[in-house]
Amino acid sequence: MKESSQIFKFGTFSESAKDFTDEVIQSLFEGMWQSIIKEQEAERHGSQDADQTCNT
Amino acid sequence: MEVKTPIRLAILELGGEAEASQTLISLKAVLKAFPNLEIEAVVSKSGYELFSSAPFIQKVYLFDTLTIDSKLDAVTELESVLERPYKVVFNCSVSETSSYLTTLIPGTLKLGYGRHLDGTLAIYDAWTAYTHALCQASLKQGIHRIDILATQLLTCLQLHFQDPVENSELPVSTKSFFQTKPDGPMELPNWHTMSHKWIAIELDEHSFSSALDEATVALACLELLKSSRELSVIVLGKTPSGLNEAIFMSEIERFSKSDSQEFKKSLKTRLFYFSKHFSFQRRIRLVQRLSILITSHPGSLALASALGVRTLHVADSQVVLAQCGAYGNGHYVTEANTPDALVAHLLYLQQEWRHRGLLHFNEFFSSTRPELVKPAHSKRLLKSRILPAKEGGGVLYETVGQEPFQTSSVISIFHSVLARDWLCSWVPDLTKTLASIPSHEVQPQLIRDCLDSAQVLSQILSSGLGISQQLHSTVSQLKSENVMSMLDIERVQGFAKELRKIEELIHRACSIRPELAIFSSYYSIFFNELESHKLKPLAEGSIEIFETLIRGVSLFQSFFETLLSHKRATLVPTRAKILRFDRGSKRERGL
Repeated sequence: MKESSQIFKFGTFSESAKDFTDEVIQSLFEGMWQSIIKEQEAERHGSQDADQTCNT
Repeated sequence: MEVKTPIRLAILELGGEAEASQTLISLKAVLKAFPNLEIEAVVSKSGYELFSSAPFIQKVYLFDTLTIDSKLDAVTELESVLERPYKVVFNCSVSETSSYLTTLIPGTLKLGYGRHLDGTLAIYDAWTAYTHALCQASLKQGIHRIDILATQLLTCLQLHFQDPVENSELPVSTKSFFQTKPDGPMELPNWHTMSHKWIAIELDEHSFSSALDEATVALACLELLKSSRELSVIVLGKTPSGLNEAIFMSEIERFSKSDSQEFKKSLKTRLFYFSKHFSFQRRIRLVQRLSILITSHPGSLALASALGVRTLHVADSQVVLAQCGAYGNGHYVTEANTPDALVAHLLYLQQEWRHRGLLHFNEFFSSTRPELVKPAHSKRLLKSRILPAKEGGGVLYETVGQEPFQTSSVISIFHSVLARDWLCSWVPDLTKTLASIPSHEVQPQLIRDCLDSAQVLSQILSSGLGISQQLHSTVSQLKSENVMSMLDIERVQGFAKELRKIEELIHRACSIRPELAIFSSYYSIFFNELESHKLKPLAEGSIEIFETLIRGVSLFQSFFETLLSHKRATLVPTRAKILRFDRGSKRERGL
């Protein structure tokens, strides 16, 4: 279905994950792993705000 | 009856207990309109028991980022989620990890935060852009998270899948929200006597930032117990970090010294202190039995909301209630930070059946407890009310007993009006929306300054629109975007340079007046998410961005002119095209 507006999207049609190249999947997993490490470090440092990082 | 094809929906909720409860409330609301949803959820440890106890969630996967030891572990945890594609993947969280996960989980349609394939942050839908724009600029807004999540999903499902089922207006919050298993009866006197009231006060780590220390809670308990014989109080003091039973009991003893022997004796069967950690099932059963839960804990507030139990939220004035307070009718919030103020607000609330919130504090206390009039007025007491759709929808917190209003709240009201105009294509009656703001709180000079700055911003945006239209006209006449004459290249580069100047001016105008910050924040997000390798769609997109922002500034002007003049409501004049959606009205979605 056509999006009704270029700037107001109500959901984005995704490229199928199985069509991602291996490099893209690797890089997304690596990004996720790095963010998990950051959360664990924040937890160790007693930060309560590990889930409030929407400004990244 | 037509049987609809199931829509497989994956929910990502990696936030805390409060966020998990709020997400469940919105999912339950969406299920009423789309009963053919099959919901599976990937949740954090904080939300696991909540989601597992909700009968309308088909599968729950635990993704505990704090205990994953290796990349292999992360992949193993996700194996079954990554196996079969979903129709919709909805990321309700704001964590960085959740954004990567949303992109990796196979699904046709994505909502919330994700990642572009180059790893940069992606914003998959308009409501996420709205919350992101406000978050980036540290701005407040007045739409509750539960309403935003529900509208986000409802709009997506209606636009891309099917129309919602028409059904009744039954409330979403019910005492049967969670499946509970028998866990042994609570062996307390009068627990099963339905006419007897039970009130619980939570004394935990969140109490450190509120008025709930041991002495205040002890005083409050005694006042409550004296106010009615048909009432018992439970103190939940589960933290090991300082607040404890021994101090609490010694405070009880100190404050009750002059009370009668009979009253002191009754405390043994009417006042209880639980310091142990309850199982989730037992906690649910306890909260369900309460008349009121008094707490500062966001998770407990959200849980009680889901169960339809009233709360008294002991909050500091910085908490944005409209976004994350208890959701539903009749929840109270006190900003009391002294024992006297808290006791005054508690007693006012406890007698609500008698005064129905219509009495001012001085009328209520003057004959019985005149010493509490001043403390009661010193801080705000608020009560929540769900607004009907024709009044703008959502949850509203109104002051009771007194009438102060924070002027800064006006801007957060404007942000929610802007969201309804841009994302739902309608504007509530501004006079009604602004009716709760007392005229003595309006600062005319500040509003005039805002209106002057808005006029300047509008002119800058109009210049930007003009340049974008010229760019569009130029690129439309090109035979090819790949092979251009030097003259065309220079012209296009000239437009780009002028647009950069406009961008600088927009940010400058908005930094002078923080009330306009939403527009510069949105400008950045709009252009950041405008994706195309072709010039023509980029030019079309930039025209849409400028037109939308001009319309937003026009709404800002109408909003503040209405506030200033107190004239009768007028709908916002349409100076640009109305954004239209494929079908259906958004009015009935609660916003």
